Amino acid sequence: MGEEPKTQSYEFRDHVADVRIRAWGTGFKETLVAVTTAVWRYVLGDVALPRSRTWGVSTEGQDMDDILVSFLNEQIYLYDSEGLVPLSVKELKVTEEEGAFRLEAVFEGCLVAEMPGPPERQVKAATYNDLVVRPDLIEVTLDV
Amino acid sequence: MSAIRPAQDKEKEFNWIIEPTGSMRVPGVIYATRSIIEDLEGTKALQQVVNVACLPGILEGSFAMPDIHEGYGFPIGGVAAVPAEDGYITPGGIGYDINCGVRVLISPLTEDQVKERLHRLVEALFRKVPSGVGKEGPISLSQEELSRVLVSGARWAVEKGYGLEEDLVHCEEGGAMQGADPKAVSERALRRGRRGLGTLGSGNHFIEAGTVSEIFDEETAKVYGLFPRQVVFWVHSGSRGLGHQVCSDYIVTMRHAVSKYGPPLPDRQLDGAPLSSPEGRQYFAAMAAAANYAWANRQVLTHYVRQVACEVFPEIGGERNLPLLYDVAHNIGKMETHTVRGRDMKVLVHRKGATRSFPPGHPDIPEKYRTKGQPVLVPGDMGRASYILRGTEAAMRLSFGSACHGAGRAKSRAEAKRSFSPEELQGELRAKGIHVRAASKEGLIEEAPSAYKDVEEVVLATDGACLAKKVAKLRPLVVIKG
Repeated sequence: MGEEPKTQSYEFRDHVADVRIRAWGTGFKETLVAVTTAVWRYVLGDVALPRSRTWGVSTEGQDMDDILVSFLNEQIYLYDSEGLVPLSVKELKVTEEEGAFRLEAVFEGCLVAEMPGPPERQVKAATYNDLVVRPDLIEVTLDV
Repeated sequence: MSAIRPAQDKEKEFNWIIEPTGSMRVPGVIYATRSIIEDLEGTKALQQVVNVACLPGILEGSFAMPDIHEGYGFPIGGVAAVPAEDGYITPGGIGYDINCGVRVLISPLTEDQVKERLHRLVEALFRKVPSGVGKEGPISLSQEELSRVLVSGARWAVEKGYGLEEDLVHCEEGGAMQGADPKAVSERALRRGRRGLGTLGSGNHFIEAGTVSEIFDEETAKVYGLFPRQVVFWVHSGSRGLGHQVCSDYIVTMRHAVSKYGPPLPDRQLDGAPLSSPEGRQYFAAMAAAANYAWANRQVLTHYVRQVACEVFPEIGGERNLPLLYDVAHNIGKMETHTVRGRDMKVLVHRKGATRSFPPGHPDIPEKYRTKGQPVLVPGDMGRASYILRGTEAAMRLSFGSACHGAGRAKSRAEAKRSFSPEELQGELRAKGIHVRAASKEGLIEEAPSAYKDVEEVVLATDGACLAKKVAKLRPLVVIKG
């Protein structure tokens, strides 16, 4: 990921049915990038892919829990329906206005068709289950 | 949460109770052996049983089947019924893979007749069935055609030539739930559904050829068409990206709805709305549509399996000689009539990783099986055993007519990966005479037999608690993993 810190700032934690990601950073922006990196590392594995295009996403929610879950689910939707594989977050902005949160991001990545082989895994969705969302730490369970 | 305790009654050896405290409206009732209960320690599965007990309108108990393990919102193996009029419906009680389910086709062949051609079978199935992550199928649906799938389910597939008319009789709900409305399904979900039909998917989805290794109930086995050493085919898949998107969409809807209709629930993944509310009605209509998509999907997969089986084993003599034994849903919300506190009541039963288990005489099961009860299909893992059971009258009293849906995971995917390599696993399975092909090595190892509870223990509790009774045991010969 473009804004990914030099050291790995996430880990996969054991969950019997699914997968749980713990990601950390020095603020929301960095932590959201770290959790995004973790999700796509889980899906794609360790594979070198071209950065052939950019695209934007925006999501809204009542709080940061909503923002995190909808941000990840938007990525999963675009991957599944448009074949957009996010490889780095070029820009990311979270704003709050009158109690409503909004996230805007720009991704750099490629198309599924440009991948040399099938991805390693499928993620159905990010869930609210035992969700932890703090500026410095995010824990999220993915339904796989 | 109060401590879990065994039921006092000695006849209820497999019943465990969590008394209601705090916001719980009903007790938690878990059907399990002591060893299954002990294995849940350190997981959130029991807390999830407690959380479900807080659902508005929940009737009698928050039930968990013997394959219980930690999920999100509901535990996997969770069952909860609410009044059809005003109880809560929650997407968290049905899950992302709406109507993930399993079916069994029976063949006239025995293991001895096929054993020399199993390698050909596994290769041919793997080539024919689109499996694995993000795999698109050969069927591309227009918007109009997709709407028909969402309303007609398996019937759409049969009318298009994917299967036999009699298959529909042997599907729960006849392969199509009433009340489905394509208009309740978002554009996004429809988009994800256009190329997914006839694909197996990844994770725990599979196609398996197995053989009947033991029969416990000869009369019922005869009625089900089962005999010793018989070859049967299992198909396990669901509603693919369309179902996942329906669930994601309505979890957002319910996040907004929940504050309108009642007190907050202990887990946001349980957010829901009364069935009588616009949000509740819409979710039910969308969920039913996704369930129908899943039935159509399994029907198309069935057609592929029949084609391959008849090609590899021409002595089968045609696809009609591979009839469908039954098809059951695992993740679903169903409108059913149950006796509650002495009177018949229309209820919505959430089953999240649980199988319907209806008794002899029930009008919703095919006439052919009505003297014996509904076939309850319980796939185990790819290295040990699976079971076919029959539904019971007791299940109607104990669990709103529900039983286990499989072995249930015991280890995380990461733990399974740490245990051994894909090559070691394939070697171990080959030594047992089991031929396996998987779309990815990662997927294979994450589904290793040791990642699952021992299905013997799960069936012991299911049979012991009378949620369903044993008919036949099967072991795998050929497995295709998504």
